[in-house]
Amino acid sequence: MHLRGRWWLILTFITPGLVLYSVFVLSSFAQGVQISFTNWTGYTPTLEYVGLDNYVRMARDGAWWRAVSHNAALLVIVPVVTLGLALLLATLITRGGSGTLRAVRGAGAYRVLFFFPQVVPVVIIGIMFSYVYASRGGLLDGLLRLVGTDVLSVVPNGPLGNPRTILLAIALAAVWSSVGFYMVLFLSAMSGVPQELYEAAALDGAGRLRSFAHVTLPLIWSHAQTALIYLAIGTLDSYALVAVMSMTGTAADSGADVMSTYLYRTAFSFNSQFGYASAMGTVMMLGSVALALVTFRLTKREELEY
Amino acid sequence: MSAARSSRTVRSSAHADAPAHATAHPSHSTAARPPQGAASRTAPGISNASGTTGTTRRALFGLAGALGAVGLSACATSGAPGADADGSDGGSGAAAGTSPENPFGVAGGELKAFVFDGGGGVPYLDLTEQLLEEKHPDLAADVVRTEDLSTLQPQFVNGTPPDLFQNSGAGALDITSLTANGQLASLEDLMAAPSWDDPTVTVEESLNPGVREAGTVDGTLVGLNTVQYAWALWHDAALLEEKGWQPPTTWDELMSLSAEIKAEGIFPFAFTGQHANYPDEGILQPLVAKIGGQEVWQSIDNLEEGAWQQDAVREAAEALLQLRTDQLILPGVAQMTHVQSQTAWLNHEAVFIPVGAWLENEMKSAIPEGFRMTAAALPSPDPALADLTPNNPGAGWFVPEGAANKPAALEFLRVLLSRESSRNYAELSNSVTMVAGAHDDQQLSEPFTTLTEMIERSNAVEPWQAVKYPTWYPAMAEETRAALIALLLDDLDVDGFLTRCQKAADRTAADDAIAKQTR
Repeated sequence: MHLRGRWWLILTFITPGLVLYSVFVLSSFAQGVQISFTNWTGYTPTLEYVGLDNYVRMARDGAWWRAVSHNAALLVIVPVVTLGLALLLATLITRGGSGTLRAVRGAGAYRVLFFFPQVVPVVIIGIMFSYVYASRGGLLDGLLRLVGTDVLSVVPNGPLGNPRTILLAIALAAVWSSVGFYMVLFLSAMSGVPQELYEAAALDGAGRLRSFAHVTLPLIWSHAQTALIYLAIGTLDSYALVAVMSMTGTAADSGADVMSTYLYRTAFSFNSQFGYASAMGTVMMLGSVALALVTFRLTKREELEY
Repeated sequence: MSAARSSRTVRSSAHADAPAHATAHPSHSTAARPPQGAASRTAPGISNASGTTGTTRRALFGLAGALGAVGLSACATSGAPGADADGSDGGSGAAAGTSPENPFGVAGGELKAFVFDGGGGVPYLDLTEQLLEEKHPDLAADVVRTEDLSTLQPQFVNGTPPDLFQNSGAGALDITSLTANGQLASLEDLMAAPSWDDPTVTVEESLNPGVREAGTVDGTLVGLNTVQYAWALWHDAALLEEKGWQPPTTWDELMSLSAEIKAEGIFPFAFTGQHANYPDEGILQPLVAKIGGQEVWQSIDNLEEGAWQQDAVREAAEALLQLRTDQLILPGVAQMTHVQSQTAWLNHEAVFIPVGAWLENEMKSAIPEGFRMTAAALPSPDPALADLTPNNPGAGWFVPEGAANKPAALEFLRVLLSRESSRNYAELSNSVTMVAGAHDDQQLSEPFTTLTEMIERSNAVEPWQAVKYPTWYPAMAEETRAALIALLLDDLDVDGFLTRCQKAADRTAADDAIAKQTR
């Protein structure tokens, strides 16, 4: 009797969410996979199946592999730099004060300051950084002029006009925009680490570096793992920032074209190849899932209780 | 102002790459559109994913949800009501007989039209609507101004398209696919109908050359392009006069003047490096045509073997490379948007800039006092072709095959091509329409006058035939234009440029998945 009553309760709460999720998320995925086996143009009610043609085409498409390589480069740069900086900043804020145990002075102000980019929409960040890199009146140009040079002398055609620098320039904007969020995440994780452990470590003669490596990091590891996966999947997408800063991937000889921007152009600029674009989307989805699984595996550690 | 703008803002068959339309609103940003845009249009009630609810798997689905990209492709492919209608009922509720007075047999009802609105509100259509409703009091015209035409896509999927749409902006529909699917109506009846102002002249006869070519896709006339999107090499006549420089007409004059300009500490050329179609349509296309004739582009469009290796293309590429090696191009243009490069030009950082006819309207609020914006054709190595300039008709209107009130749609277009509508359009947007002679005695602004004169002189040389491969094969154009930017601004040499373009053409020719067209 008890169980039956509870079932009703559970169903009442689960059903709305499940229905919404199925309709708006799962069905879209399923449909995307379905469309990837067709040559649909996005305008007709009927679908014509073409088997694996779209996937074969993708395997032979040089522009697709170029996009994949750009995503791979971003996957190396963005998570490493972002998480490294976030950990560094979080540690400095919590333990950067005098001695090795106290928070730095003005920790609250830093917290707000570093978190600030998180409240700015990605599109605005993209536009803002386009101005940072601008050769006239840009922030970077202004700084370089202080030391007697200018942005075009350092980077011919400018950071966003040069195929060799555009990806890095966008990656920096990505790091800037998300470092604050992960810093706050790590700050909250660190605040859960008992102070006694640090005191004990200090008594044993551990400096800041040692207590970070042997006390902080192991105890916030599950947070770092989550952060890594979130960031990796976000980087695999990277649509908004790259689209805004590189003309949907086309600027500087497609020097920053990623999978999602190429997918977008395939569907909306290259004669409505929705079937082919869906195949790209399917591959990206599988890639994200695989990436998450691999990251879980590689970063797996024993849970520490404290 | 948006920092991002698609280099392919207009996907009308007529004119692939002019800015969306001639109002001063540059923010047609494809970039700002979230990739999940299509997901919100998903037809409800088609959840066929099995309910795998293992904890890890569910978590992973959730993570994949963050990706959101697959959702992009999820459009309404479920059978929707009316999905099987192929639209052969065009004209329901409009069964009145035809007459010279009423050539399409408009019998009232409602006219549902969608128009791209870049922010200006499309005020010029008010008069057109008014003229239409005065003549047909039973007809109620509903002209929807929208920033994003892509919302029409599900209507096509459902088989319930509007009666008429003006296809511009970042969300412009893909006309090539719509035509291939048979979803657009032929406009032959419109072209053959008597014109609004003079019943002895057909609509087609009342227009300047190029409308038919621009609106024809795969042999069918589906688009009516009403605005003259001519390309010019613009300069400030006041600056040239002040310095005592003669406006050049031959390429040699342009080069020797450039050397003089450079000596004055100004750069001769500016253009946007972010929208590669500007240097392509504004410089490369006319230059090649002036060296080797317009047939060169025809063979390139037709993907003929070795078409990019023709001497005319090589000569043009050599001339363009010289702009780079002689450092005649304003540094930094590679990462400038069209508006940034035009602003630099208005500030006299450069003397010449290739932009289309919409320049004055786009920069209206930024033109300095005393600046005399002047349109001129690109100087020519062959003096006989000096006046020739690309003047593609643009801002295409289309009538879906499944339109419920096709007669009213055609009648609307006939009114739009009236003298009164055209002059009103020119007045409100400083742009030239395709209606022959409509603007002859219209005194609007100096740039407008130089523009109309340039177009007239160009038409007197020979009609410009729009270069089609960027619309037919957009992926190929992306590659050739990237090569052009690399030639002008980076480190590509002439051979490298020709090879890259030829490879892109060969790849397109060899790809069976791409439907081929010829002209």
